[in-house]
Formats: sequence, C-alpha cells, structure tokens
Amino acid sequence: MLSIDRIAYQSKLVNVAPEIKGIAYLVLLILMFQGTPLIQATLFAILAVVTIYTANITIKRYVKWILLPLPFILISFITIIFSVTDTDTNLLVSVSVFGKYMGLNQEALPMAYSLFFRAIGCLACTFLFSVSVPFNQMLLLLKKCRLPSVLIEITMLMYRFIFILIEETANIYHAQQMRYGFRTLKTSYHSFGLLLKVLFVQSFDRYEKMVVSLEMKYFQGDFPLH
Amino acid sequence: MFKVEKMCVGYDSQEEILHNITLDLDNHHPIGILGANGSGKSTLFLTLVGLLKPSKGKIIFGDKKLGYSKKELFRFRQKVGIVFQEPDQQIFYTIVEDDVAFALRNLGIAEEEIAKRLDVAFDLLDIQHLRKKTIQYLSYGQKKRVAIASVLVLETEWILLDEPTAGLDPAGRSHMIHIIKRLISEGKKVILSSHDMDLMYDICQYFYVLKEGNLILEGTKQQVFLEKNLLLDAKLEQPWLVKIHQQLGLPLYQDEAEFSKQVATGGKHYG
Ligand SMILES: Nc1ncnc2c1ncn2[C@@H]1O[C@H](COP(=O)(O)OP(=O)(O)OP(=O)(O)O)[C@@H](O)[C@H]1O
Ligand SMILES: [Mg+2]
Repeated sequence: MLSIDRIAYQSKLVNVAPEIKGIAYLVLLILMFQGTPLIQATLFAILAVVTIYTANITIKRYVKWILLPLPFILISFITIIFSVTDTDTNLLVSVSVFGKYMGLNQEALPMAYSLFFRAIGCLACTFLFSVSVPFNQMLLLLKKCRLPSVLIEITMLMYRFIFILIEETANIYHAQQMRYGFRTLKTSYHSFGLLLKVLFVQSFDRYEKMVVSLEMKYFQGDFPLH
Repeated sequence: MFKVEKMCVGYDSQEEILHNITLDLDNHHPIGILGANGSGKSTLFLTLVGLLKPSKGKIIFGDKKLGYSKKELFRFRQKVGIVFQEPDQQIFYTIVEDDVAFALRNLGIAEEEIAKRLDVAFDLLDIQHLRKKTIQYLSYGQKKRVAIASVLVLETEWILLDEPTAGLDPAGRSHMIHIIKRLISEGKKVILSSHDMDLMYDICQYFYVLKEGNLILEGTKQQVFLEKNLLLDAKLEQPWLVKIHQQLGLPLYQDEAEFSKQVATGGKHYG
C-alpha cells in the first residue's frame, strides 16, 4: 500500500478544500522559483515544520524523504560548478590536464546555489501537497483543471490497479522466498524470471475476467467521471 | 420464463465443461446451485447471463430463445444481474460510490435517480459509511458488499450470486445471509451457487446439484438433502440440520431459525 496516500487521508489538512490546497501549492511553487536563496531557505524551513506537524510524521522520516532525491540534486550541482576551460581565470581551484584547466567555476557558483535551493524548495512544496491531498481530491483537482477526461480516467485506473499488481507481486515473492527461491544468485535469477512470467500470465487472466464483468456493467468504452 | 434446455457449454470447442443441463428457474425461489470445486458452477452462471454461448441446447427467457446479438444481450442483462466470485475483478473505480454508480452512468440514468438508488443499496447492505472510502483500503468482505451493491442498483429482476459467502468470517457470513434474505423478501429472484451446505439449506427452496459438469440431482430440500450417498458422490456433505435429523433422530427443521425456536421453547420434539 502507498503509505503516502494513507498519510494524506489522516492529514490535519484533509478537510481543507482541494482547490485551496491546489492554489496554495501553485503559489508556493512560484515563490520558490522567484525567491532568493534566503527566501527559499526560510520557506523551506517553514514548510518542513508545517508538513511534519499536519501529516503527523517523525522528523527522521521527513529527513529521509528529503535525502532520497538529494543525490540527483547534488549531481546536477556538481556538474554545473565544474567546468573545463582553456584558461584558469574563472576557476577558483583548478588542475591542468593536457593544457586544459579543470576546476570549480566561479561564475557558475551562484547559479548552482540558486538551483540547489530552488530544487529543494520545490521538493518541500510537493511533499506538503502530496501528504495533504488524498487521491480522490487529486482527481477532483485534475477535473477542475479541465484536463482531458481520458487522462484522468487512465490516472484513476492506474491508481486502482497498481495496488493489485503490487499485492500480487508481493504474494508471489513471499511464496518464492518461503520455498528458498532466492538462496543463491542463480536461483534468484531463475525465481525472478518466474515471478515476471507468473505476473504476466495472472495479469492477462485478470484482464479477461475484468472484461467479462465490464460487459455486465454495460461498459461503453469510457469510464464516466462524476 | 427463465429456462435452460439440454445445454452443453465449453470454453473452447475441444473441451465440454457442462453436459446436457436442463433447468427450470421459474418456480421455487430462491434457487441453489450446489457443487464441489470445479464442478462448473461459475461456468453455469457465465452461461446464464449470456457471457458464454452454449454449444448445444438453449436458454429461454421470456417466451423467447435468448439471442446473442449486442442489443438482445443488453436488454436481457437489464433483467438479469450477476455478482461474480472475486470482488477485485469487478471493481474499477477508486472510490466506492463511483464504482457502484458505474453501470448506471453507462446506462445514462439521471444523477438524482442514481443518488436515490445508491442510497437504497448502501442502506440495505449496511455500507453507508464506506461511500467515500478508497477501495483498496477495504477488507475482502467489504469489497464483496460493494460488488453486490453495484449490481443491486441496477434493480434487475434476477440476481445471480456466485459464492457469496466464500472467504467471509462467521459474522460476515451471517450478515451476508441476512442480506440475501432481505433481497428475497423484497421480491428479487435469487440464484445462489455455493458449496456451503448449511447456508444453502438455510436459504434456498430448490436445488440443483452439479458433479463434474453433470446435473446429478434436483429437487426441494427434502428431496435433495436426504440423498446422502449422491451428495457424498458429488464431493458434498449434508447440512448439520439434516445430519442431526438422520443421526440423532431429531425432527427435520426447515431452517436454522426454526431450530433455534424449537430449542428455545424446550425442544419438545426431542427423543
Ligand atoms: N476460463 C476457462 N477456460 C477453460 N476452462 C475453464 C475456465 N474456467 C474454468 N474452467 C474449467 O471449467 C471447470 C469448471 O470450473 P468452474 O469455475 O465453473 O467451477 P466452480 O464450480 O465454479 O468451482 P469453484 O467452487 O472452485 O468456484 C473446471 O474444470 C475448470 O478447469
Ligand atoms: Mg466458481
């Protein structure tokens, strides 16, 4: 089960109208995009406190969430500040390799800073949004935004069936574990292949049964959304 | 009129699953289809709602042979609804009330009417509190009730229930029995399939017993359940009320309610 969704249902903000939460999310995002690193950092701190309080999560958990995408942000940070040039005029620290200079680019540093804070800030906004807006409110928002109904239908169906898939995968995986399927590397490969195969066959079987039950519900080709 | 005449059914032309089945579904409601695992109950139900086409024989509904054109099936299925065995295979939406309304919206029914019908069904099934819940956080028994609700709102004359109590705990089972009895008392024509003998004995009036795709026995309570050997042969057993009648010499009670009443009033029939 998606714990993030469960948290959203138990959030202190769950009864706030989804439109308000959506607009607040947008406004916060714009602030994060436009603000200086100082504003971004302050907002980030406030958002972190609000998120931890309204969603009833531990600080440790929140830090973990933030740490998860951190490697990606750091990698982009590093690629921006490092550069290879012909002269070492703009470089803070540098080494020369085959007549070229490799080092920390002074000019890129402010850009990298602001990018870093912007990314972290937007992450914090998105975390707050996703732990305070449960899925059904999300659907409502999408509808309010006048997104094509096909898109919303697909989102809805994916959300419904991803859990069935996860559950099925877990069931097969557990059954394989109990029968020593993952004891050695070789058996692990074998078990993993089997898992995929069984999953595929079962999905197909489920698909057929669902088609049958759709037929009994007068399915016309689309899923009406209210 | 709802009848089946000398019908043979298979999923493909090579293997026949049901052999020469004849049923008269008009009288003695509710009707119970008894059979062990793999005896063909679900296959029979799929055929009864026109999802599988018989290779031989025919289904007669309302004086006419059932046709398999899209239009005819559409009309037929507004009279006959089915609740499948597995709830997860018949629930498509994320929110309970959306799913229950799905078929009604497909029919283009007005929203006020939909709201009214949902209310009735949710009350009857005692799931008013689940209305706005997300499906994947429901228990198996709750999902089963949602699946029934989505068929009840169609207000079909006939309702086919495939293994309604399989996988339910004792409380869920007795609640399901209560629901089925309510449906019956409201005049629905119910056909049940199950291998839960006590349940079937308690609820149904007329029975068909399937064994490996063959109809081996049919009749009322008294006719079917006293046939111990035939039932055992079909990998079934007798309901406990029949067992205590045959083995302890107690009177044959018609259902559990009658038994409880007799016991409460001192069991004057004992011995
Ligand atoms: N989709 C299918 N394709 C081919 N054969 C099938 C299919 N579904 C069921 N069968 C076969 O049809 C026979 C009857 O199965 P059916 O599901 O009707 O039994 P059942 O009485 O409902 O059993 P249970 O109590 O387990 O639900 C079985 O032998 C089964 O192998
Ligand atoms: Mg079955």
